[in-house]
Amino acid sequence: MLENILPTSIYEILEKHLNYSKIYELRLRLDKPIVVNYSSKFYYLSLEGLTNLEENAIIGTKHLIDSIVLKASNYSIYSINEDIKRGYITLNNGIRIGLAGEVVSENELVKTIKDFNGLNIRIPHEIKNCSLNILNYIVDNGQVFNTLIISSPCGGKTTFIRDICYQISNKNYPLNLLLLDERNEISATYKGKNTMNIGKFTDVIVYGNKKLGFENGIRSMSPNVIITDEIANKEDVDAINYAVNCGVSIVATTHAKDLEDIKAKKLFADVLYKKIFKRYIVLSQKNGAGTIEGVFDENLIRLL
Amino acid sequence: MKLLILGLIFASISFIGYKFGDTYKEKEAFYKEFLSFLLYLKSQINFLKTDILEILNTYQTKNKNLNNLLLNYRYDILNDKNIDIELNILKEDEKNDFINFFSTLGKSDLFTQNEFLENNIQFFSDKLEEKKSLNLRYGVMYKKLGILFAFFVCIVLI
Repeated sequence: MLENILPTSIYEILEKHLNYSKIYELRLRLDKPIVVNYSSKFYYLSLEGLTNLEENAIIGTKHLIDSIVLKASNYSIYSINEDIKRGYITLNNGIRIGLAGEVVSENELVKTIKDFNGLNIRIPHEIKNCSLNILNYIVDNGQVFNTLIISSPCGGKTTFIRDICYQISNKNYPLNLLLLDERNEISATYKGKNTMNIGKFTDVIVYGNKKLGFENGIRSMSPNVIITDEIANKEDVDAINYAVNCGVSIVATTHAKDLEDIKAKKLFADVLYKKIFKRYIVLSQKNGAGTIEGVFDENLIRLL
Repeated sequence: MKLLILGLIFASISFIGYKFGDTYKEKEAFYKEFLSFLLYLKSQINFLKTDILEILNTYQTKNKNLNNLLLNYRYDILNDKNIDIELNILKEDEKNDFINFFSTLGKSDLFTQNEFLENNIQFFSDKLEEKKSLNLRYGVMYKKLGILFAFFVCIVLI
């Protein structure tokens, strides 16, 4: 996976000194030390592996950053221009490379990003059964409750929702699932094939926005459950309301520290008031990404 | 016996003249094939935004010089090497044309990439015309010269 985008010298350090399953992120910043998120802790990357000493760290150079972007595009920047405009590149194995640089815009529309000065390489990991403990709280008699999974960035939401998708799909309730994978991080679909295991009864729409996915997806695929990531704006909330009115259950994620954070957001005021979501699952990094802090009902009363 | 030796000398000298003249033909064929490759690149990139590696994997040519060029290019990019052209039929300045082309290929957005390809299609079309006219002039000339010189040597030896 990483060997296709990293220079051999860097890849060999990771392979020799680190456990791949514990690498969550690689952060490269121009003229600054390379940082690794290893088991939810941050270290510098040195020639001998991980270090806390900045003076031993490998520095991110312009050549290194540019070459990673070039390799990620299969040596064809033009082929990923839409990804660059979105601010991230998703590779066929689910690795997502976030891009920081100078935005080039015209008539207030983003044309491209140039002069990259930072990359955030996020590495997905399939952790089977990580959601088993809460499955009985969100599924009852073959019905899935509308569920919102909450955590801060790097809290394990994507891995968690991927497993929920797999578990519900494979339990054979039977339920048809539709996964709206806006950034192709959950299913890591490549040329139509899902490289991540999301279950036998799951249909996937990748890269489409939620409005398109919800409306067209419900009409065409007739799902019982829609699984989607990152509810972030009013349009996403409207799409959820639409789905709920069509009788489709929703399992979604959102960025927030905890329930107090959700209550403080205007975006969710209506959702909380109408009790759209019957279950809230809060995750944290306390004991590693995906630590279940609690399961709550529609009245925000703790169930677990 | 003498006739046999003369025949061999005649054949050898004619062959040398033929091979000399053939380098112009080979070069013309190479530029023609390269132009076809550029047109293929343009259609794949412009309409489908196909990436370079996939284009290199799917493009097929019977021209061994173009095949070697593309294989070298593929090897250089996959191994993080500077683009280097190793083709005997090309002179240094001709090699630089290809090095400049491949060093820039794939490194820009779609609009700039298409413009770059258009410019290079025009450039290499002009080069092809140049090679065609050189082949017509010198390719044929060296083949004829080879035969004439062979006759001359045979007559002298007789």
